[in-house]
Amino acid sequence: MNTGCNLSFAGPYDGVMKRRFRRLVKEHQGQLFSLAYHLLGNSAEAEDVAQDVLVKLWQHLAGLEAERVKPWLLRVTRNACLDLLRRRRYSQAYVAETVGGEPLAVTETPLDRLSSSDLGQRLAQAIRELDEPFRSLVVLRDVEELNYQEIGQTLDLSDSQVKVYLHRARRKLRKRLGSELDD
Amino acid sequence: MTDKQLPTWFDERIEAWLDDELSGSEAALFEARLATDPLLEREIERATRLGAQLQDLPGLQAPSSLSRNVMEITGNSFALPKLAFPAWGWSLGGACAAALALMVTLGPAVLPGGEPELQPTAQELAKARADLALALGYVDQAGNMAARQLGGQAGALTVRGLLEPARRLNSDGADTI
Repeated sequence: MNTGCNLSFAGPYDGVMKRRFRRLVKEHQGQLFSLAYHLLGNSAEAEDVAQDVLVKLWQHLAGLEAERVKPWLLRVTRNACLDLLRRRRYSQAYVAETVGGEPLAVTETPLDRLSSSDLGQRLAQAIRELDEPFRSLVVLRDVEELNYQEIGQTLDLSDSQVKVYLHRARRKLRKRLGSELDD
Repeated sequence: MTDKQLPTWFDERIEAWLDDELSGSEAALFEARLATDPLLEREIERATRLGAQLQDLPGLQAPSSLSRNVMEITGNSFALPKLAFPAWGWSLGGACAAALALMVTLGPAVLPGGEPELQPTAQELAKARADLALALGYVDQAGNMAARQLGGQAGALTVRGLLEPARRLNSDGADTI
């Protein structure tokens, strides 16, 4: 039957996108999970965040140019983590208000357990206590080893801002750890 | 506390000096102080040790369940990802696809003069016709959007031409019943 309309949006297009998507998941899933893990300090939540972000990638894939994919993924992951941390603070405050007593303390995180030395554990705690964007900067630069340009694209900062804020973040850590950094 | 004795100007530039990011004049001033100030030297040692500790923080591997779950979720979704394509293209494409699908699946059952292999009951035909009418409503809606996007009378005529077989099919089906 000739309908005069031969438009087809699935088929080959779908296959190409699925292949591209699979490649991107393989390439970026470790970094997304690691970033979420270091920001949240919780494996299950980090996996949930990374999963949501990768599903969002599938939904937005066609509109993303190849070179924008990585900063987009990192930005969305960081934002999701910050949202989760905000919600966590609200719920802890709510519990403390309604049930009474002190808010739940931040417990030991996987990063603490992975850092075998005392100094490593103190450093992990000090990073968690940094304000944003300093915490994200330290994780993206020193743990995920992104370059200044990638960090700038992720956090929406210029290269010079990244450098200055990173120096400030490290100075804050140095001050916080103080004599613990002496041999 | 001896930490307070180090002037802020120098303390604020330790990390930049370690990254070799001070200007020539700033670096010269910084290094002149470093040659005579043990406090500055100690802070540099601390900053160096901090840098080493930061480098030792572990990057992590994603659990294998992550990609498996993502593939399951996206593999079962029916919606294609958003395509960078003009809005009217989707409307027109959707209208064409819906009309084509309806004619292929329901055509033999409702076209006059056709010889379908299975003879549907009157009740099945009524149900099919109701479904077809509903579907054509959506097709009409998509067609109107496409016509607006194509612009004016020419667009409306184009879309009407594309949808006419489906409309005819529906009205012919009604006659049959």
